[in-house]
Formats: sequence, C-alpha cells, structure tokens
Amino acid sequence: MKWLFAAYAVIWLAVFIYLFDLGKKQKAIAREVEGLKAKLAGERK
Amino acid sequence: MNTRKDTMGTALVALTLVAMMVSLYMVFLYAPREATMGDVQRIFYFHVPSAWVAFFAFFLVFVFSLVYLARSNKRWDTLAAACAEIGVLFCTLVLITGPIWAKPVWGVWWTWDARLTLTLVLWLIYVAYLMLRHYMTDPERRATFAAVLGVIGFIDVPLVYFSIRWWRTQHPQPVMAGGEDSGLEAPMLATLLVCIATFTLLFFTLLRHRLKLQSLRDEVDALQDRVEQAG
Repeated sequence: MKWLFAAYAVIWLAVFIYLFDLGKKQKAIAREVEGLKAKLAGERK
Repeated sequence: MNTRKDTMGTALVALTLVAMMVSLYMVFLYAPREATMGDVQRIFYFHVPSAWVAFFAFFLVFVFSLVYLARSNKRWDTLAAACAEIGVLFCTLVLITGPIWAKPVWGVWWTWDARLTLTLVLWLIYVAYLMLRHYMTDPERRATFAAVLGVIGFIDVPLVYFSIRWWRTQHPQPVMAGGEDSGLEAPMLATLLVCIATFTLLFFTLLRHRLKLQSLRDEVDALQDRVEQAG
C-alpha cells in the first residue's frame, strides 16, 4: 500500500507544484503589465 | 468574449475536478484487486494515462512545429512550447510512477529494457527542447530550431509505443490492442478509459493556464515596446 500511496502522492504533488508555479508567474507578469500600463498613462499626461 | 472564455475555463476546471473524483472512486473502490500484484497494480490507472498525455502532448508539438515551419506564425510556436512543457511534466510522472510500481513487482527500480530506455530518451529529447528554448535569445531562430527538434524528436514516440510489440521486454505486454492474450477485465478497462479521459481533460486545463501565461508575456513585450517608443 505504501507504493500505491507514494505513486499517487508524487502525481498530485507534481501537478499542484506546476499549477502553483504557473499561478505565481501569472501574478508576477500581471503586476508587470499593470506597472507598464501605469507608466504609459503617466507619460501621456 | 473574455467573459465567455472565463466561463469556458471555469467549466473545464469543474469538469476536470468531477472527472478526477470519479476516477479516484473507480481506481480505489470500483476496480477489482489484481490477483497477482495486489493493490500496487492500481498505479497502472494513473501511470498509463500519464503516458497517454505525454504522447498526445508530443504529437501536438510535432503538428504545431510542422505548421510553424510552413507558415512562420508565432502562434504555432507558442502552442508547441506550451504542449512540450506539459508533455515533459507527464513524461516525468511516467518515469517516476513506473519505478515505484517496478520495485515491489520486479524487485528493482529500473532495468535497461527497450521500453524504459526509449522512454528515458524521449524525456531527454523534450528536456533538451525546453533547454534550447530557454537559452536561445533570438525569437525567430529559437522558434525555428525548436520546431525542427519538435518534429525530429517525435520519431521516438512510435518507437516507445511499439517497443513492447517489437522486442522481448521486461515491461508488461500491451493490455489493449496487444493480440489474443492481451486484455483487461471489464471493470478494469472501464476504470482505465475513465482515467485516460480525465487526464486528457487535465491536459487541456493545464494547457489553458500555460497559454494564459504566454498571452500575458506577449502583452508585457508589446507594452515594453510602446514604453520604449514613448520614451
């Protein structure tokens, strides 16, 4: 049973780490987009 | 349009979650205990779908790479890159869950038989593909080189698939479309098919998130160009 647990744990962990990493990168880039938009708006003024 | 996309995305996530619940129920409660191997055989229900998703993702890399080489449109390169990344994730899971099954059943974690070795080669090809993309700075050269590797690298996929049919290997023989002696009991086959469908949904869910990240990166590039022009 420990082998079964290990295999399924690895799968879930890998998928969650990948999703977490994607989410983290998305947030960072979204912040960058907002910053650049604000900079552009500031330059127009 | 965005609202429609969000609704579709939410529906896809919800469908994937429901399918995953059904899969887990079938794997642990519906599928019978295998007589020889016992419960460890249940690893098979997530190991095989992981391999299926990896093959499917690499097939898409192959198709998108060919289209990119024919049309030189960045969109196809982006799709190929996203599929390769997810393919490597699932190929890694195949290479981890396989040995976890092998240790109690064969007594060893790994053996250099044709199926296992070719799967490791497949993983290395697509890790090389991702490294190439990471280290090449010129976007057009990167896309062209990656597309060529994406096309050539796919040759290993049919080799992995047919290896257990062509050569005598330690890896178990095919359970589907493998000849007279192959086959699964109906509840086991139903569980496997449901898990394959679930993993396919999971693939599209991950692909959607990966493509969203890419569209944000493209937006940053476009905004940086505009800031430079304005400055």
